[in-house]
Amino acid sequence: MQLQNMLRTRMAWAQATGPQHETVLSSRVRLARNLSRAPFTSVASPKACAAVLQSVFGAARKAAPFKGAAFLELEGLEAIERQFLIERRLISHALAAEPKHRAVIVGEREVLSVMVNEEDHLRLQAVDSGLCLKELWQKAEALDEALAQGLEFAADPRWGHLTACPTNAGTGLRLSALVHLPALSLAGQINPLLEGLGRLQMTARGIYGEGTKVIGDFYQISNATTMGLSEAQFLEKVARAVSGLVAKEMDLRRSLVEGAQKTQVEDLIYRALGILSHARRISYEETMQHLSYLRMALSLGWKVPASFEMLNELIILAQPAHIQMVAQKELSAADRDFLRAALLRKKFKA
Amino acid sequence: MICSECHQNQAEILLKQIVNNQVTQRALCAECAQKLPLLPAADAFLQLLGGLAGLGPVRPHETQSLKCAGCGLSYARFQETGRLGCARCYDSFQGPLSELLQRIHGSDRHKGRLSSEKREPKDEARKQEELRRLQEALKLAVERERFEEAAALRDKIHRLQAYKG
Repeated sequence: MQLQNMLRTRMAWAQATGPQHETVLSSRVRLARNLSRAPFTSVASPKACAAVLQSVFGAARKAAPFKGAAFLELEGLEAIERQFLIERRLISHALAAEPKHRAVIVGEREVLSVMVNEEDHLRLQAVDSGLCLKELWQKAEALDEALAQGLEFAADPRWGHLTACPTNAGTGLRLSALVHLPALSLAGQINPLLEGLGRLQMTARGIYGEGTKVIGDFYQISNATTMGLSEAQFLEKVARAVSGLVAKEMDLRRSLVEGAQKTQVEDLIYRALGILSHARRISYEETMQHLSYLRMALSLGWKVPASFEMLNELIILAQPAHIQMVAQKELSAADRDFLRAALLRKKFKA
Repeated sequence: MICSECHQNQAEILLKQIVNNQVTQRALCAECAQKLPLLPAADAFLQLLGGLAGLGPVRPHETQSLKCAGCGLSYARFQETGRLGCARCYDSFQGPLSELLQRIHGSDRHKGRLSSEKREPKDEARKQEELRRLQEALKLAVERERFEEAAALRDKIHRLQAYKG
């Protein structure tokens, strides 16, 4: 029931109101935390996991930022519902894979959330529209402080926050921005840029983070290290790298439409519009590629029958588990493709 | 185009992936695309961890016998899984871990904030207990000529002594 409500209400990041939302879909701040007296999840007994879950729920119910939050235990959910939470980027594949004593707490408009008993006992997350890492950091920090009132986190002045995997130790902070880079992709300039990010100790991933699959020219850019710099320094570093990428993308978009390739780009965009508004069967990946071109057209001020908000909403609603949640039943890939096409036609006709 | 995986069927799907900050493309048939895992199989971090065993001043025979005083996890087990067992693993494995953190982050020192309740030991008794534990570890590190580890412990002791609760 709570999930059907989530399906109807819009999540904050989809609303396309944040700074630079034309190229930065969303920003995300994640903090890894563990309880000091409990064994880490990978070696914990079911009983220990249950105890952690209970303590975290207890502290979260008293935390002001979680007023009105949904407390979802994964064990009580269907496989499709867990997939739905993955698609909304509220839980990881790892959390969904082992639902017993796993949970997610989701705050209003899905800005703040906490995964419980993932690799670390708590994974705090703050997500919103556009490039807004600093604001999200403040929200995540406030949630961290509120939860620390009721929980004793594993930390030490030398090592910082103690995490199950040393790659997250110290700040436990992962800052990321989901950027849309269609022009750089079209021009074949992505690889040298991503390599450059690697040298700055930054990582590029596909839209779902953990995986590496690139869909619809969307790239998730994040810090690769978490220790040795302060949170403010990491914020500065990631924001600067993302701004640099965005500036390159925008320059290239402008030169694409002024140069000899204008007709080629126009052709791509109007073909995309044609397919999205007329197809009878369409996969998620194909949908994303066409939505990507329409997004680029919008940012160039071209007249296409769509808004950023509508495109963001479609990016979410066209996902496999979302299609099935709307249909309220499990569907074959062919049936999903059919319903996806119907959804797109309806949206583009309106 | 023929599928690059089975080299038999017609390729229908162009799979784009990022591997080590590089976008790669592969043409696959529907069947092979279904079989591929969405997540990368090899964990780059585990490779780093495996590679660490024979490198630098930390010799394998020294790390192999290490066990966490808190949860009993062995360092060898940690090298297999890449996951520590509890908060005390950090101090128990501080020599090799410090080196590993250096390789991952370019630093083994936290420079950020700490969640409010855990900034320093809450009371004098806990502080004294922590000091005693650190001094024992320091003595052991010096005896075994693990000087980097000893220096880190000494810093930690100084910081803790300077802290007024």
